[in-house]
Parts: sequence; structure tokens; C-alpha cells
Amino acid sequence: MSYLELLKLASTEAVVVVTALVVLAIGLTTRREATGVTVATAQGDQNVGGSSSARTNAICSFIAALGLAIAIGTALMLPRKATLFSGMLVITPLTSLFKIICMALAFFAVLLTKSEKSLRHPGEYLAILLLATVGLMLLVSSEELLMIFIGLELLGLSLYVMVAFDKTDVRSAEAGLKYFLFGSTSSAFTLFGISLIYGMSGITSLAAISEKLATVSVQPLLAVGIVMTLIGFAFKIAAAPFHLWAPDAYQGAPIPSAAFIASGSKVASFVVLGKIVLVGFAPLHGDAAWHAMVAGWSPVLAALAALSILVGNFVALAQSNLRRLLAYSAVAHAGYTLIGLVAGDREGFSAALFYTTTYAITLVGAFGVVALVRRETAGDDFSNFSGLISRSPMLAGCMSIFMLSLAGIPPLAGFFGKFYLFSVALRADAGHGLLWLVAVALFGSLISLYYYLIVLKVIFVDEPSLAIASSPDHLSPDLLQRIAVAVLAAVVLFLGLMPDALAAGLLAAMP
Amino acid sequence: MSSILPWILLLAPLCSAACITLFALRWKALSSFISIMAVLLSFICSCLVFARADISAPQFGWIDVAGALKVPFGLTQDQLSKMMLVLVSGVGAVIHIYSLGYMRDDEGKSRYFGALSLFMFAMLGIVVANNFVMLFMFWELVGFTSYVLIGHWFYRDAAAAAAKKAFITTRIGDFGFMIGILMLWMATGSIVFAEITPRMSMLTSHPTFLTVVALLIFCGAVGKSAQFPLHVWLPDAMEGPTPISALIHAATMVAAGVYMLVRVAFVIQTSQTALLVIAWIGTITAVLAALIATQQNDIKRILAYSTLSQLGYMVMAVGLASNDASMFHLFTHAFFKALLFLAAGSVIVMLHHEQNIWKMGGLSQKLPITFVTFVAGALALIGCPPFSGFFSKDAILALAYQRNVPIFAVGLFTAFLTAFYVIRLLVIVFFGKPRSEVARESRESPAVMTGPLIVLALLATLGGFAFFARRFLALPIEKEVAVFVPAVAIVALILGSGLAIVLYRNRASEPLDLQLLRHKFYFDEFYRWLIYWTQELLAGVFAFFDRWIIDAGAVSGSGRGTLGIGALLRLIQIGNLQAYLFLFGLGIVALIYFAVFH
Amino acid sequence: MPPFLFWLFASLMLVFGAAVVLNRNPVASALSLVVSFLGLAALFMSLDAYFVGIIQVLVYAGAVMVLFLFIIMLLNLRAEEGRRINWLAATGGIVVALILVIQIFSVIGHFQAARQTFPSLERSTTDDVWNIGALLFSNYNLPFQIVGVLVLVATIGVVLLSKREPR
Repeated sequence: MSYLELLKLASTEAVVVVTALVVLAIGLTTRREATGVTVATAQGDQNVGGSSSARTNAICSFIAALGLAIAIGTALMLPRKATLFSGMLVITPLTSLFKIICMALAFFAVLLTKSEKSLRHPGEYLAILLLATVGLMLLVSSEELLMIFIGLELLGLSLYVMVAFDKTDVRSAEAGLKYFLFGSTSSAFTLFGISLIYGMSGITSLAAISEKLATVSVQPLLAVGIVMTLIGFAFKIAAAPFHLWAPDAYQGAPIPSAAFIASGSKVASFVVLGKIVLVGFAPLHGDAAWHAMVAGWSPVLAALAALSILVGNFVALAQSNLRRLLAYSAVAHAGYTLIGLVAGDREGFSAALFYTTTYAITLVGAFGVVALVRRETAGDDFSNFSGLISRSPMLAGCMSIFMLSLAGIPPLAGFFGKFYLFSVALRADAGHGLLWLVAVALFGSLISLYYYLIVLKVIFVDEPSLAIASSPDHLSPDLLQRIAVAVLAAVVLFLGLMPDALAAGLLAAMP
Repeated sequence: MSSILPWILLLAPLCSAACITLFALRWKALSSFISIMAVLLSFICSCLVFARADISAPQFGWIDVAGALKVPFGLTQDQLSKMMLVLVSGVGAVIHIYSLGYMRDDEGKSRYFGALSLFMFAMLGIVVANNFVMLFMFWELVGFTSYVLIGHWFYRDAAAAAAKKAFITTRIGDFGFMIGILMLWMATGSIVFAEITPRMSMLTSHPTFLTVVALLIFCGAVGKSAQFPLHVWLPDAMEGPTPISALIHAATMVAAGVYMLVRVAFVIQTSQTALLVIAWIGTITAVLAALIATQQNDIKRILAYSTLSQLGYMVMAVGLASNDASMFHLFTHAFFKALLFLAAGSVIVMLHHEQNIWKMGGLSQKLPITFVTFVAGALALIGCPPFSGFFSKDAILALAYQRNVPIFAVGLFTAFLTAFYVIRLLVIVFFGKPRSEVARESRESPAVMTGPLIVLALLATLGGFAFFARRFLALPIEKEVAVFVPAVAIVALILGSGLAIVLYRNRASEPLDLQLLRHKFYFDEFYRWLIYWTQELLAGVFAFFDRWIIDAGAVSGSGRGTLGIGALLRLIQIGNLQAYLFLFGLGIVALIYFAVFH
Repeated sequence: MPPFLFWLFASLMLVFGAAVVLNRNPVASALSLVVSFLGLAALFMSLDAYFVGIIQVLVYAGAVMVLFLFIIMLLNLRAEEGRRINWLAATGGIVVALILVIQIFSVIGHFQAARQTFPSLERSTTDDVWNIGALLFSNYNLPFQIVGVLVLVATIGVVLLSKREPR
């Protein structure tokens, strides 16, 4: 294995890392410049730091976006199939597809950073965002436990910083601390689990583990190892009861960070979770059927799924802050997605990935709307959204598309995603074993309709509160972001009408 | 050409809705014009499609996930769907035109017509869907547009609440519907009606499975057609504009449930148990709604309960395994109920949005055209020969008499009640002396409103005659009992009407006081209590959890127990980090226990 | 290595690990951590992993901990004020931890393969450092480089989060 070949196969990651370094360098140099020539740039009512920071932000965002675009280009050029270092870097159509999806999600997160006024160090922020994207890509493209763990840590560490980034807001710091504590605890468990599995199988490559496990009998210690390995991912996808960080992180973090956690991090985690259970632990599937549970990972995931759906939906009912509401609904949606993995075959995996991808797109869009509203009204409680229809019909329309898609109303993407998931889950088992789980999920989505409708009611029905209506700040035409939000809404609609475009591609890319 | 027609009739309202929302929200006249043109185009195409036998719409693959899931997008073109197309687009067109007058001065006229067009699209979609996924999609879209339209006057709290109630209640039914679809698909491997039909024979050895599937699918109809016990949303939905009540909550959307049952009759009729349950649910709904209607004072609510009652008849017919009788009643009901609502709307508008019947009176002289048409509709509703309702209701009663005598008896009693409350309404509203200032000063509605009334009145009068109806649908075959049943029905009719006339002639207030009926059998109260009680129970559990496991001092005790379950669960989140980590650890321990020791 | 040495070092590690958490004085905590690391290093040695053991002593017990101590002293951190122990939380935490330990013990107790003695590892002809170096630059090249990126992220993060911002 020559280094050149490694570079060629890891060119996507390399491009993003280099972009991150460039952005970092630009962020550092322009800031220094700005402090030197403050007088020259000071004009109008904007303060000095603000204007220079805004310019840096623009340059850095542009470069970051450009770098991601180039990286997407290189991802398209990757060979169809390649395996490096016994699975540490695997290239298949599936991994390439998800690299592109992750980068596209990161791209939209970069666009969102433009609206963050409080972002003091845009260069550093974007650099970390890009490095987190590298973490996503490594997670997606690795089939080896050690590498997966390093990817998880790279992603985690970047996200801790991104959550705590807003130092003017104490909630951001609190959220960062909570995220960090939970993240490191769950990482410790995952590492413990991985080491147990390594101890039992003597190897870390997923395919080899699967071969090895097929020959040994199921032992309790192995089950403990599997459960502990899964905990780290349950944390990342915010499945109950490992979701307790999510509401704080979604609410306290800067919006692009929250959007990134809800989208990219979740998608990549589901991809790698699916690979671990379906490739690595394939012989230990077990059975999650209600009457005939057989020990394995699928009953564990089924339990997580059911709990997440119930807890997420019930608690979401009582929220009055949109970001917290999205956090709890994220818990519930993680539960729905897990159903696909519980079903546990190619189709189940592709249904889960379809669902999580459309969900990620929806949430990035929703956070885009939140960002724009927050910019205008300096808040993201329900009261900040009241009467949005009269202020910006476009945003209100997009938001209703996102909410209705999350609620699973046809013909939006969320509906088909749910239908696909549930149908796959029911077909996976001849004796309708997973019917109980599907029933729980349908019940959950029934409840969820209620709180999504509350959001719509706030947007369309409530009178805008006076403080907001008279705010002089509400005319900031953020054209680029508005376009981005509209594009995402169009994608949600398109994937609802033509789900084939993604679903068939996913299934074809499945190994 | 012939293969394009079905597509045009389906997509014209969609285009109209898109144009209005995207471009024409500011120009009210333009948007109403676009919307009406679209529905007329749909109507014309429907008629053409109906007239020609050789029309077949091409089907194309819509979703195809590598064999795992195939959903085509195709349009059914059989006798049943063609009839429904004409009916839906025809009644829709009449109501669009009527809306011009009714919504003349409304602020949100453009929004109204946009939503109306979208509704037409969704409703036509249900009619032509050739598979369950399409059906369900349009089904939900209908639910959503009805939500928007009921909540059209969203600044009224009652309207916003009613819209939400309607949406969520029907979704409860859809919950079962979806499971039913999935189970059926799982068993047969297809979701296309035409493909499932031949495969049903594979399932005959699993009668329980078939019963469960049939009843789950029926759940969808229970929600959408407002059958007992999910009927509570329909009367509240009367908060919407009256044309909406006429279109959605009388002629089309609520009938969609019945149409769906007929469409999937090949599933339902495989299980005798399911049929029996369906028949009884329909019967119960019919008699319950009729009883409630006798004590209501709001003109639109009375009509809403009569709709419930008539839907009950249709479902009863489905349960008695006669699609023809059910569709026949649906057909005539669409005309006379739309007519009654529009006539009521005419009264309401001319009385400046007064809906209490005790504030009306003596309107037969003030609004002559409205009066005459209303009488036509009312006579059709109570099944007075030779109006259309007589034929269709008679068909259902005759059927019940043959198949299930208890149901026949209840149906007959319902017919008696129907005559009673309709004549009561007629007497109070149109005869006697005006009982309020607005009633004294009212005058006839403009031509744009009375025109549709006259058209519908003609249809309601003639719609039941075999020479007319046979063109549209297969009529149920009359058996030998034909003499006995209509005779008894007419006796019930005369008794009911006579009683109402005796009781209510020249009255200024309600002589009867039946609290149970006035409060609609306390259904709303019961559901509210049920929800409250469930919340309390769960809240109690979580409060216990909260108090003993999470840091007792961190959470203030204020309001504990009175908050909903959600609020209490939220308290868990507010606790400190230690509590978080404790739960985290507990989760791990529980998972390990579950995976290893369980 | 005789078993009693294993028990000695293992208990040393655990006791001083607990001391890190329980001590109210940060300096004492840091020093306890050093001892705990030394115990860990000894365990590595006992498994014939000499290189890792040495690195454990040099890097963690040496460099990292000295850095810790410097920072503690530079910032002049004092002993924590004695605060009220939340007995409910403490009990809850201890109970959960105890259950977890019991679960793991009972599982390992039933693990048959652990009952037999493993064959000792093959002696390598080359030394540890060479072996690890060769692996790092061949098979584990990619993770090695990614860890570099990881460290970069950590550095940026630490600098940003600890930097004092002008108001």
C-alpha cells in the first residue's frame, strides 16, 4: 500500500482537511488585519468588530463552501469499490453516497453560519465544522472498530467545541458541558464494549468479527460487549434514555451547530450503527418479536426505539421553545429510524437510511428558518414565531412543509419514509413479530401531529407580539439563506413525490 | 386524447391551487375565477369520461424500490369511480359558484379558493386512486385541506379548536387504517386493488386475520365518515364557512369513507364478523345522531347530525354487504344534503350569521326560493316519496329487513326520528312568527346563491328515480318485500312529522327538555374526562418518579399533579446533571439486564 | 508475575483513582492520579507491554501530570469549599454503579473461556518500539493521521474556549 494510493482513496477527506486549514489560516490572518485597520473599516452604525467579523465570516464561508463543493466532486470520482487496511477505509457506492450527503448537509450548515451574529471567530468555527465533517466521512466509510471509534471521537470532540462556541451565551456553555460529559461517558462505554468484542474475537474488522462470531455460541459477555458498543451510538442518535443532553444542546448551541448535530451527525451515526449491527454483529441478530424475543441486538434496539418514541413524543407535547421541541421530536424520530435497523436486512437498512436522510434535510431546513427568525426577533420561543405568516410568507410556507413532513403527512418525504420503514418492519417477520413496534410508532406519530400543529398554529394564527412587530431589525434580506431554505423545502417535497430518486439509489447501493 | 382526460380532470384543481397560492393571493377576483374555471374543467372532463366507455388512463410506476415496494400511479376508471367523479366535481362546481356569493366580502377569499381547489384535487384523487398508498395519500391530503378550511376563520377560537379536533380525530382512525393497509400488503404482497382481489383467496384460511384487517381498514372510514365513536368532530366542524360544510362535511369528504369501504369491499366482504360489526356501528351512529339532532338549536348542527345519521345508513348498507344500496344513498344524499346546507347558508347569511333556530321564524315569506328549495331537500332527507331520499333509504331498509331484522327495526326508528327533527327544524325556521329583529328584516339571497340552490333542488327531487339514477350507478334490486317496507317507512314518516308539527307549531321556545340528548350523550365530556384521567394517571406515575428518584429539592413543587404528562416528563430534563447521569447509568444497567439476564 | 502483585497494583490503581474524585484539594487529587497511573503502568509491564508501560509513566505520570500541577498552582486553585453532600444523588449513583459492577462480575464469572490459562505470547525477535512503529506507519497509518486531526481539533477548541474575550 503506497501513500499515494492512500491519498487517492482518501482524497475527499484530504480536500476537506486542507480546506479546514485554509479557512483556519484566513480566519487568523484577517482578524489580525482587522484589529490593525479598525478605523478604515468603521462606518455606519455597525461596530468595528462586527463588520470585520462579518467580512471574515463571508470569506471563510465562501471558501468552506467551495472546499466542500470540490470535495463532493472528488467523491464522485472515487472508484466503485476499494478496501484499505482490512476495512479501515472502505469505498462502496453506499459510502460514497453518504459522504456526499454528509458534505451536502455540512454545506447547508456553512450557509447557516452566515446568520449567526454572535459568532466571534468564524474562521475557527468553520474549520471545526469542516473537521467534524471529516469525522462524519470517516464514520461512514469505515468498517473497522478502531477507526470507527476514532471517527466517533473526532466528531464528538468537534461537536463539543461547536456547541460551547457561543461564549456570550451561558446556555451555550452549559449545553457544551452537558454534551461533553455525556459524550465522554458514552465513549468510555463504547470503548469498553469494543474492547470486550475485540477480546472475544481477536480482531477489529467488522467482516472478520462477523465470521468469528458465527462460530462461537452466544455468551453473556458478548451480549454485554454489544450493548456497551451500542450505547455510544444511542447517545449520538439521541435515543432515550441516552437523550438527556439533546434538549440543552439543541437549544443552547449556536444554530449551525445544532443543525449539524441534528443532521450530519445523526445520519453518519445511523450509517455506522447499521453497519456495525448488520455486518459486524450479523450472527447475533436475535429476535424482537413480542412473544418470542431471542437475545441479540435487535431486542435491545427495539427497546430503545419504543422508549424513544414514547418519551420523545410525550415530552415534546409540553415544550414552548421550538428548538427544544425539535430536540424531543428528534428523540422520537431516532426511535422510528431504529425500527428499520431492528427489521435488520438490506431493505430495513435502506429504509432507515432513507428516513434519516430525509429527516436530516428537514431539520436543517427547520433550523434555517429558526436561524432567520432568531436573527429578526432575537429568540426562538413560540412567541417569536407568532404571526410569521404576515412577516415572511415564504418562511412560514417552508416551515409548514418541514413540520408536516415531520408529522408524516403525505405527500411529503416524511410520509413515505414512515410508510417504507413500517412496511419493511412488518415484512421482516413472517409472524407479524414487529407489529407491536409499528403500532407504538404509529401511536407516537399520532401524538406528534398535535405538537407540530401547535407550531403551525403559532405561525399562522397567533398575532405577532408587539415587541416583535415594532422591532426595527426585521428587514434583513438574507437572500442566500432564504434560497437555501426554499431549496431544502423543495427537496422535502420532491422526495415525497419521487421517493424513488433516493430510495432506489439507496437500495442499489446496499452491499 | 381519451387517455389525457382523466389526468386533466385530476390535475386542473391542483394547478389552480398552485397558481392561487403562488401568484394570485392578492387578487381575490382572479383567484376565485381561476378556481371556478378549474372545477368546471374538471366537471366537463368528468362528464366526458363518464360518457365514454373506452377511456383508460395509463398507469406509470411511481415508487419502485427494487421489488421491495412497488407503488404505481394509476387512475381507476370503472363505473363506480366515474360516477363519483361526476358527483364530486358536479357538487363541487355548484358549491364553488355558491361560494362566490357567500364569501363575497371575506378577507381571505383567495386563501379560501386556493384551499378549495386543493381539496377538489385531493378528493378527486381519492376517487381515482387505484392503490392503497395513493388512496391514503389523498386521504390525508383531504384531511389536511379540511383542517385548513374548517379553520378558515382561525381568529375565532372555536374554529381553530374545531379544525384541530377534526384533524386529530380523523387521524386516530387513520392510525388503524395504516396498520390495516400494511397488514394487507404484507399478506398479499401488493397494494394495488386489482392485484389484491385475486389474491384474497389465499387468505381465506385465516379468518381471524381477515377480520382484523377488515376492521382496521374500517377504522379509517370510522374517522373520516365520522362514525361512532369518532363522530364527535363533525358537528364541531360546522364552525367553518357554510359552503365548506356543504361540500366537505356533507357531500364529499365524509362520503369518502363510505366510498373507500365500497372500493375495498373485496376485503371487507371476506369476513362475516367484520360485516356485522360494521353494520352495527353504522346503525348505532344513525340512531344516536338522530336522537341528538332532536334537541339541537343550531341550524347547521342539526344538519350535521342528520349527516351523521345518514352516513350511518350508508355504513349500515356496507355492513349488510350491499354496495349498490350504499352508493345509491350516497348519491342521493350528496344532492339533498348539499342543498340543505346551501339553503341553510342562504338563511344564515341573510340573517347576518345568526344560526340559532329560535331566533328565526316565519322565513317562508321572506326567502321564498330558499324556502322552497329547503323543503325539497328536507322532504328528500326524511324519505318522503317521490323525492330522491325515499328510494335510496327504502332500498337500505328493505335490505336490512331481509338480512337482519333488529337492524331494520332500529333503522325504522331512526327514520321516524329523522322525520321528527327535520319537520321540527322546518316548522321553527320557516313558519310561525319571526322571533328576532334580523328575522323580520331578512330578504332573499342574490342569484349567484339561489341559482345553485335551484339546480340542486331539481337533482334532489329527481335523483332517486330509476330512469335518472340508473345512468350513474347500478341500482339495488328490489325484492318482493317492496310493498311492506315502504309502507312501514311511510307510516314512521307520517308519525314523526305529525308529532313534530303538533309539538312545535306556534311555539316560541323548546317545549321538551331532554338533557341527555341536548348534551349529545355527554360524548365530548366523556372524552375530555378520559383524556384528563389518563393524563392524571400518567402524571401521577411521573410525579412519583420525579419526587423519589430525581433530586427532590431541585424541582419546585408548584403545580405538580395539575400539569399534563408532558410537563411532568419535562421536569425530568430540568433536573441537575447528577440526575441526568443517574438516568444514563440506569439506562445502561437496564439495557444490560434486558439483553443478558432477561 | 505472581498474582499477588496483580492484586496489589490493581487495588492501588482503584484506591487512588477513587482518591482523585474524593479529595477536595486539587493538588492532592493530581498526585493521586499519578499514583493511579503508576499502578496502571505496572499492570502493562506485567502483560509484557513494556513500551506502553514506560510511555504511561513518561507521558502521563510525568509530562501530563506535571502540567496539571503547574496549572493548578498557577491558577492558584484552592481546596473546594466543603459542600453539602446530596445523599439522595450519591446513593442513587452508588446503587447504579454497584448494580453495573455486579452485572459485569456475574457475566464474567460465567465466562468459560476465562477459566483456562492462555498460552503465553510468542517472543518477538524485534523490540516493542520497532513493532509499534512499523504498525503505526503501515497498517495503522490512517488512524494515526486522523488522530493528528483529532489533536488539532482539541487544540483549537481549547484555545478558543479558554481564551478571554474582550467585552
